[in-house]
Amino acid sequence: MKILCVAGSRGERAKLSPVIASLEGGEHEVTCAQASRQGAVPTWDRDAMPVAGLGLEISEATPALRIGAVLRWLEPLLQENRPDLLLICGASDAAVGSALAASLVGVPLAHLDAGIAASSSTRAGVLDQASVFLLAPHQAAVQRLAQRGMEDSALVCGDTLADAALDQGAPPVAPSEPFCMCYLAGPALESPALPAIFKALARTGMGALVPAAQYAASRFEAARIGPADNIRVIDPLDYAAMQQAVAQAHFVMTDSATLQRECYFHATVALALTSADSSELERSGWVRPVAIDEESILAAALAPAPEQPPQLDVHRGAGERAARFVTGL
Amino acid sequence: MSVMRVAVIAAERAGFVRAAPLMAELTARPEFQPQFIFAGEDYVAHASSELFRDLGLPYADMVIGASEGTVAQRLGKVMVGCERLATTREPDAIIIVGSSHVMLGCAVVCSGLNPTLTHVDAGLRAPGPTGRTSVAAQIDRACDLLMAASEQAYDGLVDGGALEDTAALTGPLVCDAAAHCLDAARSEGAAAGAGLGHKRYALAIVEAPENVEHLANLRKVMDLLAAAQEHLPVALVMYPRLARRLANWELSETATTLPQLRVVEPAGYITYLSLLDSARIVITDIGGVQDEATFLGVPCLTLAESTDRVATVESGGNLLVGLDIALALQAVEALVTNEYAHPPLPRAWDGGASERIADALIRVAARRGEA
Repeated sequence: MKILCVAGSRGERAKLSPVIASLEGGEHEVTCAQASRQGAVPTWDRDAMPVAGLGLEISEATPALRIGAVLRWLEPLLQENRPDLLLICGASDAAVGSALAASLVGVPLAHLDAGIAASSSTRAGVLDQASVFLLAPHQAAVQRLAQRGMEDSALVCGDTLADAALDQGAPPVAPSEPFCMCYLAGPALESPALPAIFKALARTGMGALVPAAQYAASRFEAARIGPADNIRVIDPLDYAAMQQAVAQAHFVMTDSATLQRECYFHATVALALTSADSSELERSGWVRPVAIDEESILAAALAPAPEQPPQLDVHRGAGERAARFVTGL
Repeated sequence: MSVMRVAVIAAERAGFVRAAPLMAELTARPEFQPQFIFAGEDYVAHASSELFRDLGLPYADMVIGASEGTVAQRLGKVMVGCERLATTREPDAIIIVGSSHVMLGCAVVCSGLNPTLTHVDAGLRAPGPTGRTSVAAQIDRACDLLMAASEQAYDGLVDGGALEDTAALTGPLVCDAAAHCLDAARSEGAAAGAGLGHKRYALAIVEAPENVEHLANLRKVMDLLAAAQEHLPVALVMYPRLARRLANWELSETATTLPQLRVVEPAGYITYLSLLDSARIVITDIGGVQDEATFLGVPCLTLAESTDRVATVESGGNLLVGLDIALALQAVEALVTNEYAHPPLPRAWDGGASERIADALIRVAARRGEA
């Protein structure tokens, strides 16, 4: 089969990565494409992930412009290459634009991470509806798909993010001091309360690593967030380094639903500035929803970690999950 | 309740036919301040066309359609325009009229924004696996409020997870348009003008890409029409895409040399309705035509293996013949020989869809106000 995979965000690429590796191990012809925000591209090649053969940097300002850019970019590629399947993940602008292009050209769509969307996430629901092949991370997601009459094309292939996150090797050096991490890539960057995040980090008393892509760094500058002794804004980390940092951090504060799940796999408390897309993670206590407010953040950051460890046996795949996808395909 | 600002978006002929009675209803009610948003190609030509005049469609309050570029480029421009509509004009509700890719783009862009996103003719699914992933199904998934044209469509929406307070059975808007224009259509006597006897011809409207864009299928369609015209005159509406394909594949001669096959140029809505109403049989592959024929009591033969207009088939007014010439001819012979008894109309097919849609919008607004 000729399969084209399109990733938008960092998380989508991480989740697709083990699937792509499994597909390449078979007899399939796989092409990877990535459509990401401007400035993200330089980090792609440093990641230990399949290299994107096709890439689009998106600089447009609004969702419609970004979706339109992906659509215009991908439609001729699909016309020219005529893949048997277009594989997307998540519900980013790249995923939506790709799905529209596939629909226009008549290429069947497969959606990885299907059924995980909360009812409020209309976009993910539309992408599920558009797909002939739904790859769900767990049984609860399949039940959600069944409520929408889509169980016939759903397959539980497990959480491929677990494959990606837990196979990155041990960190080279253990940290001498406790530290925390803050990674912002979504709605928190647009929040007028953005400075409160940094004030709270400054008050934790521990070192804070803030990996920031070009866009995030520009938002920090626009919000006039000044330097603090214990906060280091650094260039984005490659995937392995990011996972190792997450595994060693005292806590991670983020608006990325993907990173919240990665924190859970590494038994690191995540302060969730947006919904984790999974109430199970929130119930576990490892993912703590928190308002963008200095005192709320501080209280959540300093609370002890849950006693019950994460249920890794439910999610852990080490390649098995991705292999299930390939078998299902 | 304050006045509700409603943006009605339509992009092509079938959408304009549905938008017209809805705009008229919303304009007539003091609770609404409607805007008509044109998302199709070549607004100037449409606005000055017979179709718009016949339907009484107002000038567009905003044009977001694009005429140039590839399909993807045009769709991209429409989405940007729709986003601008939602964010700058801040309507309370956006009504998506139709189930094309343009409408899907609008729905996706506006989903999650403040306006209540509403899809009319919701729940249309052809039986089988392709129905679930159809463009109409995707638009439904993006919308907050789903207005179903038939009981079958409504039940399908509820089975697919729609809640009863987000879905409503309203009936099809094409019935409203047809009911409104029927007297004028009957006065026009378009059939007589074209040399066709009342209830003595078959009207053929063939436009679906699966028939028009595939040589083998288009050949079968023309063979089928050639066989049918041996039983009664056939008036074939020559839409531009069909004309192009017939010319490209050197099939035009079939359409012009058969003794009882007449080519009819596409016209305004009144003329079209007049031709449809006077026909003895309709042969088509278009969903809206199946609805209109059923409403008018004209028996319909559909050139497809399945249809999303399930209500027309279950009512007995529409027979799926696919491209099976023998089956189609058998039906033609029976319909020419025997008197046709108009089967009962599906529930809510009474020309009151626009009124029910307006009522549903008011109910939702009231609920939001209470919340």
